[in-house]
Amino acid sequence: MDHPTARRVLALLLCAASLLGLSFPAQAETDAYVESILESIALPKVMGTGAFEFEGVTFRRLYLPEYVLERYADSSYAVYPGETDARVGEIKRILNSDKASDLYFLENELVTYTQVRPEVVDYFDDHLAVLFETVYLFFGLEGKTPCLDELTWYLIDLLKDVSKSRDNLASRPEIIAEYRDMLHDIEAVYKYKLTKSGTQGTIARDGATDNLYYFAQTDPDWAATPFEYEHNGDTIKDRGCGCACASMVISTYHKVEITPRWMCTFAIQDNWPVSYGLPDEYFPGIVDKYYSSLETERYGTVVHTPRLLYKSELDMATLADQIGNQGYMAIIHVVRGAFTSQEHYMVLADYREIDGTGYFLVADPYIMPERYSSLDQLRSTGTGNDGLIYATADVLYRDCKAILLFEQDRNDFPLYCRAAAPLTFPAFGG
Amino acid sequence: MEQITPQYKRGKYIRRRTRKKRIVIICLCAAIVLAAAALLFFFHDQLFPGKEPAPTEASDTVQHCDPSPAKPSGTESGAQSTTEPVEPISGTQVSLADGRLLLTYDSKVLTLTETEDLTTLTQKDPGAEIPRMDIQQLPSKLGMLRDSEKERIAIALMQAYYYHPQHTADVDLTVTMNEKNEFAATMQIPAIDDAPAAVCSVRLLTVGDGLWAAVLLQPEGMESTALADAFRWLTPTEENG
Repeated sequence: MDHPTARRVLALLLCAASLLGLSFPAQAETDAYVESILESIALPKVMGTGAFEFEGVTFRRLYLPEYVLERYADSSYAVYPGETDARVGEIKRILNSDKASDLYFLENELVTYTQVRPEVVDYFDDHLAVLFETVYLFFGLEGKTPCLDELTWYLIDLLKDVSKSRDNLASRPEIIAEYRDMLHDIEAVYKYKLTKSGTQGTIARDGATDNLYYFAQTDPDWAATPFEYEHNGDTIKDRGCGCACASMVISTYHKVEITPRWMCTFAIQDNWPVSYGLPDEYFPGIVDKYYSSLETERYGTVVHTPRLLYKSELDMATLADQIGNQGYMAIIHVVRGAFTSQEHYMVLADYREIDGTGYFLVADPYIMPERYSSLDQLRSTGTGNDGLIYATADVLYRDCKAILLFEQDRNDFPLYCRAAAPLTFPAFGG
Repeated sequence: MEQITPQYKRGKYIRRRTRKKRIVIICLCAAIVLAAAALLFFFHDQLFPGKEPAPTEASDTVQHCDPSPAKPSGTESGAQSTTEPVEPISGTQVSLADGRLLLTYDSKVLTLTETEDLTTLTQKDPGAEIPRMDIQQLPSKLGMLRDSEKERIAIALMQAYYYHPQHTADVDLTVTMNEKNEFAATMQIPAIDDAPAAVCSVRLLTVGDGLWAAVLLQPEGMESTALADAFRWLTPTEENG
């Protein structure tokens, strides 16, 4: 076939193809046309109460018309827990309130500081999965496998918009309060789920869930932050064990991440530092002054003043029962021995029997396991977190100078519902 | 050996060109036919509304009931054949859609409320939100919709009553009328969460140039004959174009 003919045939085929191609967008247009009709349908919502039960508490649903939910039933992508994807990082940053820019979710801690650190920001961690599960629950999508897909994006986008309701709905103050209550309920159920499943706490730099709030004084994020005593040039890494321990315990009781930076700031502000770091009295002092009711309005949590027990007052069997069975926590003040060559604070986070021997789970804020001695009294946790170590009651008692005992259950969470009625988004007649 | 002259060569070339032209024309025709067939496939509902054989499983249960869809079973008037002429009782009449839609109801039993979106009839006693009948305008024309789209809209109208509705694919819908100016369907809805089982009837009516929808929601054990009557008596007026 010569060139002119080939060109003509090609042109004709292109014309035919373009005519055929017209038909497919036309189908999409008809779908969009029906969607526009569905969007105009009034929503009487008189069947059912829009409520659901969770752990014996009645919560209210977030309402979306069924056609909206079904619109996103088939997603062009889905990212699952354990996977790494830039979209995960994007949504984590939106959900994280601990940021200078963006103004979403300012009153909620849905994604924490440790979840958005550069090493893990794109990683779909366990906490995000529980958060999505909780969001699905409120939208009536129980049973949906947690994943980041088009529907999940859409739901988070809706929540994102109402989290800025002060701006978006300035003319409707009654709705602002309703949305604030609903976001609280989502957050509270999310934190409750984490607490009761034992997966609460920080996310490690490898993406693993620590299963407790763990903060190291050696963490590069704040290790070099000045924490001086009489201008000696010391940092949090040098003498911030008390700050890190206070962070771990108070974060656990209030279910939010409070980093050692804050503890350090308040310690300096109130002139607590002493030559060896911080005195035992710092802990009740800082709880009473700053942290007792920090999240009471948000979650109903309270941190009671810890009791200071000196070694002579200590009964390790009782302590084991309190920490292992009653959910208490303790900060132990140790002197030179198995854990340090000077003085040191560590958190006693749990107690359990392993191979017939009882061990306290010690959260040591100074990560340097090679400095430990009396290794026959210690045992690796196998968690991959070098700041966690099992230690026997004997070695802890031997090295103990004092204990700050927090006499309350770390797994308590006063779950309650704030929303008075189900909520419909403004776009759907809310 | 035959010697091929230049003229012969030219003649063969001309014949070959003619044959190629024919092939091109045939290709063109085939392409146009294909394109037309494709366009026809996607748009034949709009071009020939109401001619499509009902593609869904509901097609087996289509009943042409004139002038209104079947009432929920168990009601007082359920014994009345839906094919019998409707004989409206004397009642309160309200004109909707600029006089093109006539709503007749028993004002001794029912209360009419109107909002921006809905005209609603509920029972005076006990004054609950259900059972009820709602009327609303939709931004479309019946003739522009395929059967499957009419069914989707009917289901969405039903789903709008529920906080936690059945998924569209699970709804058991029976088309009771599918004519040029009216589409009617009934759905049996099982109990869902804290919502009781119910029968939901939908009428899509051509009113003037527009499309209006009437929905009758009758929860099980709460059926209202007065509402069912008002639903059946809802009639486009003669002014209807």
